[in-house]
Amino acid sequence: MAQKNKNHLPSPEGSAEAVTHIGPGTRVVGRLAGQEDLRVHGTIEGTIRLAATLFVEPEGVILAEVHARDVVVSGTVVGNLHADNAIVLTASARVVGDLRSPRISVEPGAAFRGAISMDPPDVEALEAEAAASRGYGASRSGSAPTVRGAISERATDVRRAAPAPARQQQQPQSVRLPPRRAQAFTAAPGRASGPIVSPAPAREPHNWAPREPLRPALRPAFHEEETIIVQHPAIRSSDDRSRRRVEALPAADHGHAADEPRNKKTARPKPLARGKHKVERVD
Amino acid sequence: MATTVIGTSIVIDGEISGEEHLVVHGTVKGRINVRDSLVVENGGLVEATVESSSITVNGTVNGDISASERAELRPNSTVVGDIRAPRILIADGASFKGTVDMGG
Repeated sequence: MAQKNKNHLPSPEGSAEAVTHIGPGTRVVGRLAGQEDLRVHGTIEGTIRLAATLFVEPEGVILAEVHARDVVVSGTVVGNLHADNAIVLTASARVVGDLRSPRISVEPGAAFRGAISMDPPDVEALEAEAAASRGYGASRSGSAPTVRGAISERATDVRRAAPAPARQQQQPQSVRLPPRRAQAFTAAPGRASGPIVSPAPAREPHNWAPREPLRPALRPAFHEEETIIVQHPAIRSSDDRSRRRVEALPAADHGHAADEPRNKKTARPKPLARGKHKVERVD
Repeated sequence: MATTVIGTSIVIDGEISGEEHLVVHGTVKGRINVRDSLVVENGGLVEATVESSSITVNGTVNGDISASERAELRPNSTVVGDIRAPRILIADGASFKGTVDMGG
């Protein structure tokens, strides 16, 4: 029975009969780590870390977080699968959990519920790291006093990330990335407007224009977060630093102009919720 | 015959239980509870409380051993812990530290 998966992607070198083998009547609970192929006909609960191929045979059951080079599932898996090379769900597989691997194959008949990510994990991690280190470094060095400067830099980065026509479209998309925030704040005014029906909508339109200049501190914070995400492709693609410097000055104004619509769209709830009191006092 | 084999490079930290023959070439820490026989092969390391019907040790066991039928320590084996079994074989060359309880 152990032989049946030989024809699948990850199998070629795992073709010799696997040494390690969990029989159908055996149950392992805890952490399992190793460098050799593992065939599971029984049950494993816990975590599995394997520098080789994990075969979950038809009667095998895995209730575990799995990290392996390859995973071939013919049995049942409840838990997340991370494979450095490939994941194969054969026709008899039943999987509930997230799959993460550069190569994933799901055969017809396989039952699967969960998310799939094919991003190579290392690249993603590296990018995030690079972006974080760059972004934080820049923003911290010029933190409170030179907020403006920070904005303009970010703005140029965003702008250089995309070719000219795509710029405006890319920005709203990128703004949408942190949706939880936006929703959290939209919820607040929504509730507030329940009891007091008329004033809330009335306030919205004319408060907008004056508020922007009043609260510059809010916006940079928002920008920093979002642009950290967008920023790094720009850094990669831009090899000429001279160009950045040239753009730096005009970019400050442009950045603002470009930002206005997006602020209204997504960041709006935030200033509304917080700024309400302020504006009332002023009035 | 269904068997379970733990390969040389495998490390298990936790509990193994089952009804089958279990062969350990690798490392198991925690607890082993099998109804059939257990063999700790040369190079195998078990740091666990072991319960089984029949236990054969060629490698190393640190922990208490409880066998319902027999326990056998082969030459070159190392066992530190208490052994409880109705029949116990300790071969010449085996290293053992602990107490023996044959039920009396």
